[in-house]
Amino acid sequence: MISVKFDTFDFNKIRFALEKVKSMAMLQKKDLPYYCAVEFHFLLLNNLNRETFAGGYSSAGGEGFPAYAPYHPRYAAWKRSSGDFWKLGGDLVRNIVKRKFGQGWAVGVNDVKDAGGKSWYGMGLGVLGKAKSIGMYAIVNEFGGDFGQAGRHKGRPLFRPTRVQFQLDGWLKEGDKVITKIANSWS
Amino acid sequence: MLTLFVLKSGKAKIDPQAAVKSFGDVVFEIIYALTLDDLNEFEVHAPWFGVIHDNEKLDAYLQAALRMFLTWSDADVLVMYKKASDVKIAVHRCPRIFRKGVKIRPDCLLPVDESNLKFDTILNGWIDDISQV
Repeated sequence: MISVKFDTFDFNKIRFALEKVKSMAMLQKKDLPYYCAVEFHFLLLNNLNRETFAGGYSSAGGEGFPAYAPYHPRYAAWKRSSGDFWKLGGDLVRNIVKRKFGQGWAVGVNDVKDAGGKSWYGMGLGVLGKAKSIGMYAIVNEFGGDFGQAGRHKGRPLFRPTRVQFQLDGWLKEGDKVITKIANSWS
Repeated sequence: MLTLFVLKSGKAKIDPQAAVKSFGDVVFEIIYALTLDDLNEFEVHAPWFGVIHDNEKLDAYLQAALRMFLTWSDADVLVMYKKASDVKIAVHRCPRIFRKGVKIRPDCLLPVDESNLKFDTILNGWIDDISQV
């Protein structure tokens, strides 16, 4: 005859450990989008400040973005007086934010009006330029286009290459952290 | 997911099929409308309704982002940017997607009582003007 002895103490320990793993998985499901938003936000600002993609970007996955077209020398010289390639008054960089989006988190641009005063034609003439939508210059910078009398602008993508960069690296690291936390919760 | 109203633009070069196709697979039903009044008169069967003129289309980037916004956004109105090259003001901010139940003003494509509504902007791509291509 075979007899099986059931140790209720061990059984309860396993049940308790399973419950902890389940709780940690639920917690990470909620936290992961926030941590990804924090990391992506940081990466985006870093790429903006360091002009990471000025020389172009080509991901390991094959998605490529062209090198930034140079500004007109006179415009570049004027812009350098107050900021750098991606910055003029700092309105865009201040309005790149992370926020709750549905059940998760997102990073994007607050589409509000800036304080105006950015027309380089107006400098010295007393007309400093009307207030403009920050979303508008984010989208023009990102995609470029032909805007008739308002000029033809080359796209100088920042958000899309950063997204590809994050997909290939930051996102995977965040995923690994989650797996480690869940694994460590088994005890 | 979305009831799409295709509005007459009155422009010479139009392509309503391209306008509809540019929304991809989020379109649940299509209504060809003549005036802004029609937007309030037809019954919408989807959670959102969108409006596009027959001389416009969404670019591929905007189309790709649309489903995410329709699924996750808690806004009442989704705004997109339109690119035009034959006029002095070349970039337009266009409210084009509305939550079911939002009423549209009869004189322009803006919601009634907009101060009580929540707006969100989709900056992932452009609305293109077909008549200028």
